[in-house]
Amino acid sequence: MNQPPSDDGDDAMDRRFQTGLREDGGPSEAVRRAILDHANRMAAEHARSQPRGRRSAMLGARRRNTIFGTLAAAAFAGLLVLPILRAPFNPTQSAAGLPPTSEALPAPAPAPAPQPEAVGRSEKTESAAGAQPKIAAGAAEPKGPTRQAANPFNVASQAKGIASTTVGAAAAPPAGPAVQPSATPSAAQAGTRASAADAAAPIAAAPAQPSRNLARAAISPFERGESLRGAAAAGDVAAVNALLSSTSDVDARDRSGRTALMLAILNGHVEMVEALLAHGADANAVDLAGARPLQMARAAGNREIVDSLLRAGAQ
Amino acid sequence: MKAVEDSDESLMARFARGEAAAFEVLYRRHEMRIWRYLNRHVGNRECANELMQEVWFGVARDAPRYRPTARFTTWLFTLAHNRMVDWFRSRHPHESLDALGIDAAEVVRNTASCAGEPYAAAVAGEQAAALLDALRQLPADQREVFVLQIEGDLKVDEIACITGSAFETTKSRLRYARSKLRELLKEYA
Repeated sequence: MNQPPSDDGDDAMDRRFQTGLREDGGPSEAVRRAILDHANRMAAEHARSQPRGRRSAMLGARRRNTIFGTLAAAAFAGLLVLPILRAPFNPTQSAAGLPPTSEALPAPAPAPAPQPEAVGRSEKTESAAGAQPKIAAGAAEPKGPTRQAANPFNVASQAKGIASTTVGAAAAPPAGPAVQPSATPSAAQAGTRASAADAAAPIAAAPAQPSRNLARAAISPFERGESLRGAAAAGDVAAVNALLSSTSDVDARDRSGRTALMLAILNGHVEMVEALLAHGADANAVDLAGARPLQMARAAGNREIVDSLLRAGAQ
Repeated sequence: MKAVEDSDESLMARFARGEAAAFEVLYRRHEMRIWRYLNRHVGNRECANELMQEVWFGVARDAPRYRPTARFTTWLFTLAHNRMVDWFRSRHPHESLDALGIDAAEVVRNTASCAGEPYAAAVAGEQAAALLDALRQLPADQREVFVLQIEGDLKVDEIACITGSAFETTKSRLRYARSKLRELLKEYA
């Protein structure tokens, strides 16, 4: 009784509808023209974006080369420094600290990829000046910007980063004369620090870019949408609140049609989901694959998020 | 070789590289199928026109991101389905899809006007009215899968993918839809 009906006569039924309802007239001519005009404009845009894609690929390759070059130089410098670190500790030499000799001074000027020899020499000088902890710190230093880069949307950390960059820049002019023989030891150290910072700059440059953009007042809505989604995915509620205080589109979508709310759900950030819903995020948005926030939360098995969404009227 | 070059997927790839003519071929090829799918569901030409524009604008915009992992028609109908659901929710948030009627009078008028001779026009109009009336009596989920199959020429698994339903559910809906339509149209057989 409850068996689904049989397929007998299916083709005849389909044909009947296909032939009986075909004459619909189609869309209006104005709509047809609008669609084709829009397609022409989009085709021109797609054509323009082609070389840009190639250029960005080239830029990516160049950036990759810079990063690998810098890492290789750092590794080489490390190899040079290692024997000195393993040498027995000499308190007299370490405590006195070496005066700024002319060897220490030709520290490499700020350059994205310092020559291996120059790096080796400056590192050796630094370590000879009793800066063993500094070397260790130097080895650990890249983790700072890298970790910060992992969450480029953290407003607080960005503010600190910008502040430290400013301080570094302010300190740079006195450190600049480090190339001159009359520089003081502290200036020489500042110079080597500045050069280390400059050497790490290419690594930090790419991820640090959004933070600088964020600090600027003139920021495009698209960038804001991206920042918002990035912060939502990272679960950074403070950043999201800051971004939403200056932008109105809480439902800005990425290329897959996903909103910040969806990204927060997919990453399991309960607080973020509640914050976004409080800011009026659409709990029933549909992405390009046809998925809805509630489906995503259920698929992820996150009961708290499901409850939050249901309270917000998600279906 | 020619057939491969002119497949929907290759046309999309050519359009994504900036060839506007490829889009026009694609549009002409699928225009009426998408139109009928939208028009059968939203019920009047104005809304269908609006949705038609949104769907094809979406196709033009997303062309560079389109990857031929599935048939182009599946992707296209998924886009149309999602736009329709969004449109429906934005305009009728408290109604179900069943509440949407089909503008039968309009379709009958169009059908009759295309038939030419007055008697043929009357018969065609009467038949179209009966078909539409039967279609309108189907539950929304059954109507959607049936329209997707007759207009989109899609397989059951593709319809299931578009509507976000399970394969067996979709198959069952199709069978019930056909059975009910057969029953409703018995006297016109």
